[in-house]
Amino acid sequence: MNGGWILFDTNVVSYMMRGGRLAAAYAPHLKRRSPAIAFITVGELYLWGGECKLGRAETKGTRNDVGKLCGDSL
Amino acid sequence: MSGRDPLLKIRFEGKAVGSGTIPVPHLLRFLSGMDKALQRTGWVLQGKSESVRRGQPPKKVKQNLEFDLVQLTHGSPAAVLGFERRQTTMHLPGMDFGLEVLKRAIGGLATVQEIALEEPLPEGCDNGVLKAWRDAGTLFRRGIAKIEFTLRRQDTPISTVFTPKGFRRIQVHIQGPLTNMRTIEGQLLMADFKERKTRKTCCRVHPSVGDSVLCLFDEEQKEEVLSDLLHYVRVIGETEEDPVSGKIKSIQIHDIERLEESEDESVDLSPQGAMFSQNFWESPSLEELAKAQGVKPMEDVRDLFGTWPGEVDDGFEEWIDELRHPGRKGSDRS
Repeated sequence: MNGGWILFDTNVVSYMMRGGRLAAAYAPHLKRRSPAIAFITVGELYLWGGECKLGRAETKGTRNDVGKLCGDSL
Repeated sequence: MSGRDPLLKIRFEGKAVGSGTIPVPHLLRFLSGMDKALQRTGWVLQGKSESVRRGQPPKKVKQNLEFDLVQLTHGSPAAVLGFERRQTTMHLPGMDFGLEVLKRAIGGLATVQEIALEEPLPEGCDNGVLKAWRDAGTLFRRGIAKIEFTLRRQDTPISTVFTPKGFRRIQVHIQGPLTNMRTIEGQLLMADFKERKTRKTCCRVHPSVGDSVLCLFDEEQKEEVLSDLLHYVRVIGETEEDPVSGKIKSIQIHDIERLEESEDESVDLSPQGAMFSQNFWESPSLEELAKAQGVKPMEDVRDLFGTWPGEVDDGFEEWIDELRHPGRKGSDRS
């Protein structure tokens, strides 16, 4: 992880979480980089959870996944 | 000593005292409470409407209520303190204000432990005096089971026993009739002592968990709020609650009590983590921030794959775009 920080925008986070073709396309750019996200991305993900009325388990799952990107500091 | 009993004897019983010994913190706490109770009784007897006032008590009250500790002895098993008045001026019978205060305070303490809530308080006693006795009575939470006062008089001595049951009764008197009463505990911060015509003075109590609560208090409670500032306290009062959420909007303080045994909890409200070496004008780097917070970057980004909680075509990305650029949907995008 000596390639420095790389800031994910919100759509890139969703691509990575969905997996599939787009995630595979981004993956090579992330090698040896430390992923980071902005607080606005954290807010957007939680807001989406509220808009979609995600259940408690799903919200907790998203929180855990976002937490991984934030170094489990959430 | 001439061999006769001192003017005021106070006997402490309980597991916290030995034979003729009492912990210094207990003694300090008790004497502070008793001194307040006597001073405030003096104020009330002088015709003040409220005994709790900021500033020095009147000279007459102060001079007449100065005591010397002249005896520390033991009962079986108990610690007994003896006090004499410092002022030695001779008084005409019935004209000794200091003795009158002692008589009313010690006698009143016996009465308030017995009377019903709706009954009037005895002469020389008001809410401020009750609070002072309550502060002295917190020893009952610290291994003291009984405190007995004996006031020597020319005729019959006055004797009052202060008990844990009486201590609880005094707390009930302080709280008043229970209508929408709530109790909150937390660190007392941000007191605003400025007088406003339309607003009461206020402070905030920060519980260990949950939102801070706005606390309103009156002029006579200023001194207590000020002395408890930054400390962990228990506030009992009448609440105004949000009709929808049920959250407490504010609480009108009926009683406030410092909780020394919970002081450690208030430390948790202070910022935690390692201190930065930089001064105010130098921002720490991301690495330094992460180190200070004890967090590490994600080891393998592939851990995220397949964790999306929604549907494949749920339109999240479009929703974000609309959120960031409202009204641009369908128009040209860069």
